[in-house]
Amino acid sequence: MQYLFPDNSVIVCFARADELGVLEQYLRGKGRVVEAVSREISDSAGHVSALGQMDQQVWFGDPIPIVGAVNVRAVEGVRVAVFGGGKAKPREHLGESQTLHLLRTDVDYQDSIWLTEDREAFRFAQRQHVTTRDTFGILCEMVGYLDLSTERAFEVAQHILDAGEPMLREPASPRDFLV
Amino acid sequence: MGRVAVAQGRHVVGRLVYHEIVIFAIFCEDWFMADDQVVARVNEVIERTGLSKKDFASAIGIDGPKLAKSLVGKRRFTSLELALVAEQGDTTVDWLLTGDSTRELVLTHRAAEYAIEASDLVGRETIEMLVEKLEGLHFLGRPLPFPALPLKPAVGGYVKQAQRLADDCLQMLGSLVGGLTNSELIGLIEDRFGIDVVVTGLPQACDGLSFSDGGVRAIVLATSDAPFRQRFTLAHEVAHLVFDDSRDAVIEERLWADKTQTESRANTFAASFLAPKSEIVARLAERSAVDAFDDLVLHFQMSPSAMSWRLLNEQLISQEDQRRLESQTARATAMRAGEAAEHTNRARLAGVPRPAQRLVDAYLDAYRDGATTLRPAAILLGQPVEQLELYFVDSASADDSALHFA
Repeated sequence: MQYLFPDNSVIVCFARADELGVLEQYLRGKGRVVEAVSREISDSAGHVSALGQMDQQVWFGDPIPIVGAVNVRAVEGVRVAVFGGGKAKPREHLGESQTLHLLRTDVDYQDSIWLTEDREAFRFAQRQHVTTRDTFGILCEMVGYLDLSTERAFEVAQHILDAGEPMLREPASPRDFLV
Repeated sequence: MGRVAVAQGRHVVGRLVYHEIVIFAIFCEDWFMADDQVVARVNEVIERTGLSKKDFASAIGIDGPKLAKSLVGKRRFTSLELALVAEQGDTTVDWLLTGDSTRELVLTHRAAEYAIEASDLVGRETIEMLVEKLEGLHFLGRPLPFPALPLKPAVGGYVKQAQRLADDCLQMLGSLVGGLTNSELIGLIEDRFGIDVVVTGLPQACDGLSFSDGGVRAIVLATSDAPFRQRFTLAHEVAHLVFDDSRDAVIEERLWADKTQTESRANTFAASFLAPKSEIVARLAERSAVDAFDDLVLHFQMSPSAMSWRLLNEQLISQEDQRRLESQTARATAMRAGEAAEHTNRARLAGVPRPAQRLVDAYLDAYRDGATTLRPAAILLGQPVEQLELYFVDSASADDSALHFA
């Protein structure tokens, strides 16, 4: 089954724009998160009020833990060597590292899609042949599925930008979603 | 001078891709990593915090019963939980998993023991960052060359030992030293000796630091307006590394402040390395060392004082000449020789920070091959990743314009 793994950057984007409903619609019950991303979402709820309403159990089910010394060690290696996290800061880039490791190594999740607004994570995952979407890509896909009109997708993007959240790709007009 | 013991623990893998690294790890020591040892170390962290198990669980925001089960071995700790424990206990996930004292951990703790001022930690943090990035390359299966250095001579007094080892190092360097800029010399030392060198701002009176262990050799030099002193510190730190004085330790350098035999030996090495007798003799041509003194100082980029001692030790000048020549200054020498502008430029360049270029190149290669992101290189360069991305990925520069041919 193809799961969707949003990272905290994407969730915060939609939450700050007060458009979490759009993201929930896109996930269609197929959203999953690793443990570290789940913790990041909880931490973000402290300063992003809309996240306080999010029931992670309903959205994502149980967060997926990474267990076993081999896996923990591999995640730590990716965190430091790939994402530049500091050893003295054990949670720096942990969510990205856990997600990437899971999608790369667990056959149950290898067809999944990683949703991220982090440019470095986005580019790296693509080069590692992990299917990836940024917020613009999510909205394009929703337009393609007829879940959103181009005008509504543009409005959501505007709300995100107005909320001060940068987008990896910013649409200039509703027509940009017709790709 | 502060000396800090640092534990070892390195893991060398070949040039592997990500999947292979994970599989490889299964056959390595990870396989034997006993859960009860992880539990013991988590317990140690909890004890160190002085909190009850319940309060510790609450402090790191995990479920108390889950922690309790993990602590009796009925449940394995997850990656997030170990990160939270490490964060709370001011330690690292590596240590929780293996018990290998990671370098930064011991450095930090020992620094506190010696009550080293916070500003003194700047250089140590640079060393820690270098170590972390070198280990990262091992994880990526792209370890940097780590050539064997010449061995310390078994016989002779420390002066003879220093001179002989300097000769061996010069042979390994494979280049004349006089006339090289500091930057060129640093590049050669990185390349030939596998020593990573960073030039950065250090607390006042600290000229540099060196560190080595089984897989890392690093030198941190202070930015300076005294290029000859910076060059001498570089050679002095190379001496500590080849003599193994810095093994499992960070040596903070306050040049000339310590009169120990180790420091004297490093000074002798530095003088012999920077101004080899064969090069001095060739430079003299038909001139006496006294007549050629200004030229020797500027060519070998050594202070008049250090050069006067070097020439005396090689019996190329008299004691009387040495006393007379040592009181000159580098700047006055440059002025006299009509090289004031060049010397000013040397001083300017000595004040410019320099990243560990060998590491930066290795991470940029890894990025180009799709093995990592730009973040590690950005950290090494001290630049925001967005800036580096613009520089290397997104934009052309004036270098690419054809207009300058017009």
